[in-house]
Amino acid sequence: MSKAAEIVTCIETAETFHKLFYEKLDKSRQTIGKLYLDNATLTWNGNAVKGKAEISGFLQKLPISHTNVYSVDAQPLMDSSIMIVTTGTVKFQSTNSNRDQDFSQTFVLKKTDTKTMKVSFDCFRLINKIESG
Amino acid sequence: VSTQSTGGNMDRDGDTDMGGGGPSGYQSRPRYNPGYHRRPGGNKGKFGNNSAWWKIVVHEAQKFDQTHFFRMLDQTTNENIDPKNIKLEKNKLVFWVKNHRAKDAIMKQSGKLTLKDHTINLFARPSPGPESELSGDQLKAKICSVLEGRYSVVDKKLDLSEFNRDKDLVGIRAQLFVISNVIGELITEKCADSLEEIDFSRNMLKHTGCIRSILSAAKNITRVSLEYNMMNSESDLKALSEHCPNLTHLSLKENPAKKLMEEAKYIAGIRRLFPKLIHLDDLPLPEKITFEDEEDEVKLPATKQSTILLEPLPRQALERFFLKYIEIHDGGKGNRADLVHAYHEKCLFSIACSWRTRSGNEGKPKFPIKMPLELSKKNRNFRHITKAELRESRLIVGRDKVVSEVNEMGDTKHISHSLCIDTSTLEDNFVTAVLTGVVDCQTEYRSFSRTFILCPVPETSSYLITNDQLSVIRTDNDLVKKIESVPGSSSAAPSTSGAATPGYTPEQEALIGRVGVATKMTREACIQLLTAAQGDYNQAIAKFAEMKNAGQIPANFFLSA
Repeated sequence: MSKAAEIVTCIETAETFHKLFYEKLDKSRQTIGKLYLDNATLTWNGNAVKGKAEISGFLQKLPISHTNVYSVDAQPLMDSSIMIVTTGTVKFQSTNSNRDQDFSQTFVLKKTDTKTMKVSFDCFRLINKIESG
Repeated sequence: VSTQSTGGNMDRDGDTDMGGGGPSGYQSRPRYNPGYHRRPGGNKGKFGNNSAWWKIVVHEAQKFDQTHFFRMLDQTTNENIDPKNIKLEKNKLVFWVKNHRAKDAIMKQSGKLTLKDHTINLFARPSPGPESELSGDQLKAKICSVLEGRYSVVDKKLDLSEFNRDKDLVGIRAQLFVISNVIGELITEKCADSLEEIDFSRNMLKHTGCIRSILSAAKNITRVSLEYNMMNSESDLKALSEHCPNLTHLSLKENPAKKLMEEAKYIAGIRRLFPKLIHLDDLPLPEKITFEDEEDEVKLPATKQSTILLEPLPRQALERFFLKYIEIHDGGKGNRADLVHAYHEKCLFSIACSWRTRSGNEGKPKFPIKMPLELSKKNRNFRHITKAELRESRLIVGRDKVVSEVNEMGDTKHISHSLCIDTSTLEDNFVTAVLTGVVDCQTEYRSFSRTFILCPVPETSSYLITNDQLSVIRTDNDLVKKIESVPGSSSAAPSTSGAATPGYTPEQEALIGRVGVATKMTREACIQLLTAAQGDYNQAIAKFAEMKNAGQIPANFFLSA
């Protein structure tokens, strides 16, 4: 694939993927595991989770979320994976943090044998956090 | 209310206009008016006493001259008026006269006297006596003593029923709507937390605005009686519910509002406004039906510091790599050429920003309202940038271009205590590292998240960046304050879980020293070399010679001469 075509695919993938991901996160969390590879890794605010089943379990346990994405960027990797970086705000429905918080999330998507793209790496961080730890 | 004539118009205090109309526009009314009760005999008035005093009220006192007015009154009435306690109540002139002859004579003039084109209308009502003119403090002291008599500590109740008719308040203008501020102050001073019940009955209250100050002062109020008042609008009840959301007992008996609403609607409406109410008017409310639909408390997992999911050696290598990277980056605009050793030949770089408003920060120094120009020129955020050419052109390709771009960016100072790094391995030992934190860019603070994809270089046990994505958002004011209050925050080491820098044993230090002498490289470079050689000195030196001959050792590895 030419460099230009690669970049275009990358952008398209990023646009589609991030909408799909946050839609599932906010509205149908029980299906979010499907987006991950079996051996994917998730780092959620410093909590390391490995494997699709564990990741799915971890995400189900989070409170109901409401996400607004304000920035999306993507780059192709050398092995034709795609790196997507989003930033925005998320509100989790829980009494100890019921307000919009800034976050940044990095995904690395890899192509599977069936030509679909799945998440191999997911790193989520709340940024601009005032509380320590 | 006086019986001298029927009809007439009643003003706010219950005074009636004896004249029954005049050129200023009052309509004449039919003689029979069932709204006003007739009381037989004498001047008993509301007070049931036979005081001969009358209070005369003249509206719009600002429109005429007082002395002039009284002179005219004397002339036209031919009576010895002898007005007492003349004073102004807001824009009304009031005074008292002692006998009904004087009063009659005065009232005959209502609608007939004109001063400066303004027709004077007079109102009269029976009064127990001239109201004393009390100073603010005197009034407060007086009311305080009355309230003390009406407060029950045991019941936590304040009885304000028929307040202005209290025997100790004769001669003082003390209707609740007039002095509610004073009562509010007294409650705040003396019993703000302990007062739980107030009886407001029989105070001619037309709306809750009058008693707002009292209600807001009693923070723990749970029982209110508004019986026998003149509340007539639902919106008033809403105001009440805002002031007293925790009411458990409420009585609105004998208020027109209740009559306006049908029974069932009334209860439902009241319930909506006062969710904790269990007693309304005379009766306990039926219990509210609830479903157990309250969600269990779901907490967020605790935030943890940096996660570095790597074996110890690569981990150390990575830490060193970033220390160096940040050090060079913070060297300032134009001084970052050395970063060429950090990037892979075929690397990619892009920046994405979002600069959303945040209350409390805008416009302050270092917290600009608009996205800084250098960022907006390079911004590749797909949400903002929709043109395909820009999306393509703003992805910087190739080491030379990338380093040049990074070098062009303004000065930065990474605030070490804000930094956090998350890393993990991808396939082929590639590593992702996400660095987050706050950077001080002289003209503004920025919060950032920077994702690096790194490819390992076994020979130097270091890395090369293949992908660099920088996302910038506006910083939070409070966060910066907190960060900067930590001492020593100017050095640029990212905080990691566990010990900061790996310590070396004296033997290891000695080894590093020897390698340093032999190779003339920086300490860090020596450590890298030794690590690659698994701690073996000879192997390290051999490796060094090999790499030096092949020209593989980066210039910055060497100590400056």
